[in-house]
Amino acid sequence: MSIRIVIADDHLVFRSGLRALLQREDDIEVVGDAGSPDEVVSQLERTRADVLVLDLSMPGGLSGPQLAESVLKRYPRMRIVVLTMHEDPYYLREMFRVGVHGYVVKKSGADDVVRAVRAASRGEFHVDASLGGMAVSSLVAPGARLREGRAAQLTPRERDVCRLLALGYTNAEAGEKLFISERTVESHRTNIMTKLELKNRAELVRFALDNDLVR
Amino acid sequence: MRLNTMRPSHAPQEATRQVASTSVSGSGVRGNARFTLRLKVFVAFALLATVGGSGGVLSLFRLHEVARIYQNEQSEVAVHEAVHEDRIALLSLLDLVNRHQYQPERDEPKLHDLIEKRMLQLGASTETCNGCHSHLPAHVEFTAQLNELRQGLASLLKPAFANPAGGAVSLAAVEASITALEDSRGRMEARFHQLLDRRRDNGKDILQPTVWQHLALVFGGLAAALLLAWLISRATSRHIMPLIVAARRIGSGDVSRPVEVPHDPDLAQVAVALNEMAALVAQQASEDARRQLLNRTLSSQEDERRRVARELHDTLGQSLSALLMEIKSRNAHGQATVSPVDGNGLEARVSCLLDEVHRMAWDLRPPLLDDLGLHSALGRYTEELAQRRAMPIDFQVVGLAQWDDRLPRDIETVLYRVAQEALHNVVRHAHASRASVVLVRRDQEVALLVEDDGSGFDVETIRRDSASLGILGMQERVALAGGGLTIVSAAGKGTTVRAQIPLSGLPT
Repeated sequence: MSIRIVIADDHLVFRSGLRALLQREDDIEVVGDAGSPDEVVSQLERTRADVLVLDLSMPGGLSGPQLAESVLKRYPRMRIVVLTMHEDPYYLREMFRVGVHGYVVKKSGADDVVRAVRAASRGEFHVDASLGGMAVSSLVAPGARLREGRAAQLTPRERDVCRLLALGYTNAEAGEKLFISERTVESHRTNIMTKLELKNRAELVRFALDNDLVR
Repeated sequence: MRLNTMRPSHAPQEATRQVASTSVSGSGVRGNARFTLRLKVFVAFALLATVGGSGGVLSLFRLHEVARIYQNEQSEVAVHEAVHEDRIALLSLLDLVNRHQYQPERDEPKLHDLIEKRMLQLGASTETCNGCHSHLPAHVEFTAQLNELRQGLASLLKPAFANPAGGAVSLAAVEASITALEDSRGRMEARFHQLLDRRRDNGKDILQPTVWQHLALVFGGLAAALLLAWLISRATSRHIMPLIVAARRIGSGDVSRPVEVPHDPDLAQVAVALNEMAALVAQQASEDARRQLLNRTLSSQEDERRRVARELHDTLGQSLSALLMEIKSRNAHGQATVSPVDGNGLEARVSCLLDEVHRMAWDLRPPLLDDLGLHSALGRYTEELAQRRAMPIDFQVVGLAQWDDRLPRDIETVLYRVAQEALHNVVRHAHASRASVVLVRRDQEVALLVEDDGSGFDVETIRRDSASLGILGMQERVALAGGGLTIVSAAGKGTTVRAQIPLSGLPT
């Protein structure tokens, strides 16, 4: 039994090219195509497709992620393969969070699309080979907590200063809030940075978040 | 380290409004209030005076009446007493006549004395009547009766003097006369009492005014006061009216001509204040127009960028994608229309072209910003820039979840552009080894901080430099969103650029 797919892309040339390429495969049957979010909905309604090949940047109405989300809400068993220009871990992460099964970059070629469609129809996940590294780094990066538990190294005053700086106050403003001079804040800041080996405010924010100094 | 908060044009309308209200309250409004107060006091005073005056006049009238009644009563009492004494004298005379046989030799001198005394007393009574009784209407009648009484008494006694021998006859005559006199005196006394009672009743009427009199007093006073107040206020409003008209004119935005300054010092203050206000309104109007234009320019610029980016993606990008896919497919299946070597080169070149189109579209306006929000867009932008410039850029967010927390779209755009500009400055000018971008959402405020550890600069110098359009642009964008831009920098100490935008009251 062949895999019934709907191709959703607003660009007619691309859509028909892709359709022609996918039709060559024996196990894939393109049962419909759509050029707008509205058409996607009506096509899915009509065709009872297995897999939706979805472009993320179709004009009109819902954004790509929103469209995918609403399709999956309506057809929970639908498998979606994202086919997009966005070589971007943020889109990648967001789309898998929404619940798609495949993410293919348009640059990659029809073979990747075919592989992704087959994987999705089996309920497996497929990430474009060129994005694999990004996917992993984006999974790993936010996980490691920074210097957790080292807040104990700070004096109470330093912790106050750390908290205010993490909330985006300038040295002078933090001084005003704590009734100390700007210079004192500056020296606290230097101490905090040195003690915790922090390089800049972003790292200080990260530290404050990991140690629950700010929420 | 110097701190420099650059908020010269922050919340322009509010600021201007504040200035306006301050300066107006500085001179005009206070003067105006004083004037109004004075007018009020004046009117109140007039009101009081009218009521008091009419009350006073009435009281005076009543006092006079009371005094008259009192005086009358005094004199009437005196007359009454005199008459009473006469009566006693008559009675004692009668008693004398009745109880003792009248013996002229023995009794005459005594009687004579008695009558003389009575005569004197009656004379005194008459005097009293004449003296203090002049305005009693009954006075004349009363005096006449008294005189009659006296004459009666005298004539009664004369026979006794004239005919000492005929005592008995005289005695009977005396007795008859006395009885007659007593009768007439009794009538007189009754008449007197009648007079006195009537007088008292009248007095009571005057002393206790009726309800109608009260009402008349109150309404009369009120009407007079209102009339007075109306006259006063009309007199003053004739001077105020032009000012009111002018204020309305300024309020409706017409500041074409100044308000004429009247002579009255208070009103002059109001007019001067109105003129100041008109100047501020004019200034604010032009400032508003400028901001509106800027806002429109910026938002249409964003729209245009979005459109061009989409266009690039949709036409060029899609066509190239299709082309690339076709070439790849042909290469893979050995159907190349050209030699495989050329085919691979073609594939690489089209791929490059596609990347270029993609990057251009991104630079114009990242679709990520619209699709996923500021958090993702900034993350992606900092990563990409760090990679391209080989400079670590750390990015952290406080108080905003990556997926679900979206800020108002306008604010997202503003902060994205500010971050772009600030980071642009960092990589171009700062000679920094590291940069940091922090996005903080506090209660009702969002702040973006871009910091570097570079060479820093003197904020004043840069700000005065008209070429620092980047900073000006950031400042304008942030100010349009109702926020403020803070730049902290000093030579050798790096730079912090912070944009703060309030979230309260903005539609999300």
